[in-house]
Amino acid sequence: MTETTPLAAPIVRVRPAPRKHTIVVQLHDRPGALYRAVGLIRRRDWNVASLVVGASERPGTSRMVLVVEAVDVHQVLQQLTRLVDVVSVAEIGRGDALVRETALAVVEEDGNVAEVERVASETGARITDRAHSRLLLEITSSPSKVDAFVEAVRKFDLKQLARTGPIVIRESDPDSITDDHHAGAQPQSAGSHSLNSSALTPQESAR
Amino acid sequence: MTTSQSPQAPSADASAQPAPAHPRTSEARTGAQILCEALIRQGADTLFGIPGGAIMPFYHALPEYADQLHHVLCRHEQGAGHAAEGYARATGRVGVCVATSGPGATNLVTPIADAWMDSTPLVALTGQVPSALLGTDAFQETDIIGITVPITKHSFLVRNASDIPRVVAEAFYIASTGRPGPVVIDVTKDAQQASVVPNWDVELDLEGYVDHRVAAIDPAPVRAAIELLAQAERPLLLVGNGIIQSGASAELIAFAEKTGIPVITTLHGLGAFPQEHPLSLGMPGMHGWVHVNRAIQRCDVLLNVGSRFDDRVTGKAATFAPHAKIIHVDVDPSEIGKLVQVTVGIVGDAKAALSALNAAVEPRDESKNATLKRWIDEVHELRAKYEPRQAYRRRPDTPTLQPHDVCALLNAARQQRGPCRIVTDVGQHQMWAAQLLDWRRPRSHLTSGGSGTMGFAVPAALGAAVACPDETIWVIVGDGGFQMTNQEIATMAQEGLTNVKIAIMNNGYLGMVRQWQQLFEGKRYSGTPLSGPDFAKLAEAYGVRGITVETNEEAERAIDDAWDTPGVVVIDFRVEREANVFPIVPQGQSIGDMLVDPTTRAEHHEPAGAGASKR
Ligand SMILES: Cc1ncc(C[n+]2csc(CCOP(=O)(O)OP(=O)(O)O)c2C)c(N)n1
Ligand SMILES: [Mg+2]
Repeated sequence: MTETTPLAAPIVRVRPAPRKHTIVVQLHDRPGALYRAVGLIRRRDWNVASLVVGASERPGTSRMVLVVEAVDVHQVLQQLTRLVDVVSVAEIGRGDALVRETALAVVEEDGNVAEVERVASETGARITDRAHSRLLLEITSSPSKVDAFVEAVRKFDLKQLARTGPIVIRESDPDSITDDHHAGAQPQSAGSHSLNSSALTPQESAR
Repeated sequence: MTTSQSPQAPSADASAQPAPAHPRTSEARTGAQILCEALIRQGADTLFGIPGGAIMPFYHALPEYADQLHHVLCRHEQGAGHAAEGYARATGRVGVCVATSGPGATNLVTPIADAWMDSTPLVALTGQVPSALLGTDAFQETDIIGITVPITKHSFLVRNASDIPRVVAEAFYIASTGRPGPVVIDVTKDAQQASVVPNWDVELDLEGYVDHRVAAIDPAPVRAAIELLAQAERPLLLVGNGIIQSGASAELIAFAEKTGIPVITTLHGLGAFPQEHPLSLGMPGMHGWVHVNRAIQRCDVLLNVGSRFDDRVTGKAATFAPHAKIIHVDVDPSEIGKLVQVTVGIVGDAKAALSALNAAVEPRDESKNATLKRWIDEVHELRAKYEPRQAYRRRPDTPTLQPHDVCALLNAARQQRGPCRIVTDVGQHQMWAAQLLDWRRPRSHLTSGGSGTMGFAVPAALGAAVACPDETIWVIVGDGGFQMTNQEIATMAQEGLTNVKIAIMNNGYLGMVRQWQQLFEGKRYSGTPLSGPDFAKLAEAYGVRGITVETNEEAERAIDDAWDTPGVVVIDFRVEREANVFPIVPQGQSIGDMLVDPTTRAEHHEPAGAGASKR
């Protein structure tokens, strides 16, 4: 065969390492809606760090906040957008939203109430109940402060711990990729839509 | 988005039919009657199904609507589902299948999965236990919605008869718009029995659902695509099911001719671009032709319209088209960048996107002609060298009937007999048919691609035959797949169908698996030798004609005979038992590394300079 057209070096396509992403999904309160969303996450094999579902400002819809570890968050957003009961999907970037989480801990004071109280005040937690030698501590703060609180209470005789996972709110309505039908589909126009640009990293990288 | 039911909501296919006005709009009637009327309003004219306890009220209502809704009683719900798929794929309209709760519904799972993988518009209507019994493990209660969540576009549980008009309209709308797919409607028995006055003036409540087919094409990526193509020295068009689904063949031909770019067609794209066209190269992938895969590995711009980079096409994705910038047009935004990184993504309907590309592209400029011609010559030289179909030519040392010869005979007969549709099953015969028949017309090749469902062909042919009574439907099926769903021949007989001809490529093996065992597992034929009944006698037992064929001469006569017989005919072609499909890309490898028929050629590896097999 005459190889008349010499080939340039092959294009190297790099997949970036997985990163944590916070995604807010607004979905209809309909039977099966949550099941579909959660099933999708399981099926596509994404690693979920937390998942919180609760009421949203709009009757008939819930807000789901999902912290997911993924290489291709764009794919996560697109797959969630595909669901018929999903109204909007948005990735929350650092610093553009208020993120809060609550944790509750029950510790045995072991004659060291003062130390527990000190830890509570240092980490920003409140002691909301005392019964016999047990203290109930409560904190609502940013996830990193809740992390610090959890680490601190582990030094005590920790009887129970519960964390909610983060919930998120933005002053303006979260940008929705569902209204923006070509969102992210063409990396070249990445600036033209409202998605946090980090959502596009995988596509933008190599070519 | 809240879409009113008209004018946008009903599928284009449904609106093509005059909506039969039902006289009694203000009378109360049962949910079952409302279901029938709702289906008719959506343009459904044929249902494939089997009754049972939880769907009995619906079947009770059906005879009243018999002049508008033809029910085809199948022999297995899997058959009903595939028949509805065959109906849908042959016509582009929504296929409808019906089953009772529990085992009836679970028997639909395979065709629903098949429709999901091949983006076939399908509505599956299932009966469910009375709502008071939901969640109690009642007799024949199965959570069919839960089971089908991963393989449906959407689903509805209907507990109130008054919801039926909206739900059916939404189900058809979802199934047929955007990227089409299956939708399940699970209706409790009490909802079918309840009596209400239906409100047909309902709004579709589908906020958040976007039909990307009707959205305008973004001009920015179209411009970017044109720019990339203008710079390309070795451009290539890859087209698939999306062309057929959107009816974009004319736009595709116009674009290819205006730009001079050669076209490759995936398994589901066969027929989207006429095979005899000088720019047609053939099928890529695991059993694609060497020159096609080689062209992919050497092209510098690959424009994919309406196919989804399935691993049977790409082989090892990391080594796919290593020199190419990729432009991907898809109606489903989630497909863009899912498996292969793209330089330009265009979301939208293939027809609209190709029209936009056609409008924006300059006709091929003379100065580019030389470069493009060199590229096309290069591919053609490779084609000449690997003589794709010739590799299967009859050899003197093989006296037995060759499956390739049967395909060649069928192809020749088809040229004389005029248009027909061919439904293939899954296995070696499917690949021989894809390789060796001429595909010229959209929707003339129906097969199970994404799911690879053995047992698809016979019932899908039933559906296609009901949908296209004036055309001959040929089935090409293996002895394995035939034994999975051949009972639908009884359905064909009961329906009085005369237009189905079934060619069994009887090799006495689960041949495709046997081939892998031969090539990659040292001929350890575990679980693949296969016996069967005398298929011709079986056909006769069903009340249709059966012919057994062992030689080329008999084959030719039998094909003619089948065509001339006004009835279903089954031909048992006793073919060479260990014939293989070549070329083949071993699973997980680069498409640059193909095995070609060892009796004619050595292995074909991409030369090192091309870089494909090196990573
Ligand atoms: C339902 C189902 N079961 C198993 C398989 C795996 N499989 C793929 S091809 C094949 C062999 C098909 O044999 P046959 O129908 O005789 O066709 P042939 O390959 O011999 O032409 C099998 C078992 C499948 N695709 N579908
Ligand atoms: Mg076989």
